[in-house]
Amino acid sequence: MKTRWGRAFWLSAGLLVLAVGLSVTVGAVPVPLPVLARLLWAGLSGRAVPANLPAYYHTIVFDLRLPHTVLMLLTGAALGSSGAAYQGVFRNPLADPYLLGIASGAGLGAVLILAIHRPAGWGGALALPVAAFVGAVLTVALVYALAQVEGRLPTTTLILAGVAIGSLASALTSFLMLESEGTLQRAITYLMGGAPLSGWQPVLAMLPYWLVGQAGLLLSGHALNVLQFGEEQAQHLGLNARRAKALILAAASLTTAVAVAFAGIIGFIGLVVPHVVRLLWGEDYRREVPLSLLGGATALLLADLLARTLLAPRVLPVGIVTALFGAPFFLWVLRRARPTAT
Amino acid sequence: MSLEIVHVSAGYPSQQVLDDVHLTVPKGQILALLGPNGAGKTTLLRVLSGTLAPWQGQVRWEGRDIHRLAPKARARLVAVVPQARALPPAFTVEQAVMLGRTPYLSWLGGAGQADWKAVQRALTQTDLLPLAARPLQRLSGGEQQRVLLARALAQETPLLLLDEPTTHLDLHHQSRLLALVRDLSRARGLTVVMVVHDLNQAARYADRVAILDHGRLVAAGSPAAVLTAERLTRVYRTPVEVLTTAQGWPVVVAAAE
Ligand SMILES: Nc1ncnc2c1ncn2[C@@H]1O[C@H](COP(=O)(O)OP(=O)(O)OP(=O)(O)O)[C@@H](O)[C@H]1O
Ligand SMILES: [Mg+2]
Repeated sequence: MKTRWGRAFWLSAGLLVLAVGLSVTVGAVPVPLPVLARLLWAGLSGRAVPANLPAYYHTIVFDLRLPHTVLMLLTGAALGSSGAAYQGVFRNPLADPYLLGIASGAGLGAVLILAIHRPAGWGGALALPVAAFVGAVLTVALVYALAQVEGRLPTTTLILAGVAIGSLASALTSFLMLESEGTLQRAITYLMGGAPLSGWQPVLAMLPYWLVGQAGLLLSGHALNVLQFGEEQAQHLGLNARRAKALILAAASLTTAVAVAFAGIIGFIGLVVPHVVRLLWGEDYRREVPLSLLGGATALLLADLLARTLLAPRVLPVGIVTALFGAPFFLWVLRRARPTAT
Repeated sequence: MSLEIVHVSAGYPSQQVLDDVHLTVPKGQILALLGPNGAGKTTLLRVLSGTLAPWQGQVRWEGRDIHRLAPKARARLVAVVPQARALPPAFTVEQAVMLGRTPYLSWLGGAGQADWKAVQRALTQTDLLPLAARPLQRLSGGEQQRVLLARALAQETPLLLLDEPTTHLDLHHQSRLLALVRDLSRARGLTVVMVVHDLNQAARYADRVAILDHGRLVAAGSPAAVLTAERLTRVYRTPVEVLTTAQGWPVVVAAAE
């Protein structure tokens, strides 16, 4: 058991390193690996850039590629681990921050604060995830309440409630965008899956919230395992099921919210990745959460790579690429899940 | 030293179910809970396990109100074997049984030597050792039922509640399970409350039986005293005859209507 889990971990970590390497080197101006290695070495050891390298490499790697890569890495990791947590809490393989409308709710929260307050600079960047978090938590609570039928959460009502609330949130978001003038409009287009923010500021603003949310999720593996037997049996086993669910949903919503606040609404990573992890390595949330975190980061980096290269020099919204792969997968899971979930 | 059910009334927002149930189970004894469908047996087990708070009355173990205990402390006291329904498909038998150690584990769920020992013992007692690595979805209904028993045994509690534990079991495993429960109660002083529908199993394995009907306690006492033809005919609204074996156990048979 231990070695199998170790293998899974190192394999996932290795794939992620590979994806990071690809993401930084591939682009309109390719950065050859030796050049990247020398730049990174120089950057890390605090020395000057080697004189024999063209100066633009430094700008491309440190000001453009790396911040974008790290943003995608953190976002993908957030979607992967929070997807695993949502699937665990809802005991439903189709629960995903996007399908449950939580990402749209987070997006609405972020747009609302942009519209009302129009925060700028660091204060604004740090307030954005908080607003998105409030939107996400309200959405989860609403979907949970609406989907409940006699104390159970059937797949159909869960997905329908998620889609309905998500559409409502998206409609309100679009309305706010139409009503706003040019500057705000540009600032919020990325929320709809458009061009993501660039530079180090979003990455650094995201990081503290990301760390808190991920720590919460990584600690909830055992509780998620116990919850798979339902609330009543979880109580028999000594877990305060209601409180555990609330805490895990809060951590998952925070994690989703930071992803949405800085990278926009990106679907299907949170659905596909935990599913693949379960298929490959079995069901144990103490492993599934960290493996989905790594896998989510890898998956989004690869999707982003496709988005940047498929129609280069045009850049597709990465959400289109994830949907292109994710939607068929969703249908496949739906068919597979039918006999057991009602 | 006993389980005291003190004038308990309980139910759900939509309806009252239990009405002033008052009953004591001495430590180390097995109580069989009988009664027709919808009588409130499962509801009473919910109150005993701490998951459903009584509207009135108390459940006390060794004098302490179990509804005032923290979830973890309660789970070290009471284990429950629920009816096997919709178990998580991909968990292995061993994983599921290990979750019985939850009340002794940290929030992270790291298991120690004592936990693995308890799991091995529970798997052995329930004949599940050969199936330890199987995912639950590839078990029969009876095997799933035994997994839930093993999980409860791994919990190592002084009080064990079982809800129709023999429903999915074949004849061999029915008597295996009931004999195991009886042996544990004799050897370790385990106190047991189990809901059974088979009146003869109740008569054979329980120290005491109690009959619930429409949420009220109709009778409680030794099998021979409680299981009378007249009472059973009234409660089950079916004519029955009660015979006695050479060893003195009552045997209940449905008479032709
Ligand atoms: N969760 C619930 N919400 C509302 N009413 C319930 C609930 N569970 C059970 N009931 C009702 O409470 C009454 C007692 O149910 P209970 O499950 O305790 O019966 P039981 O004696 O276990 O029956 P059976 O032999 O069929 O298992 C029934 O009328 C039932 O419809
Ligand atoms: Mg019942």
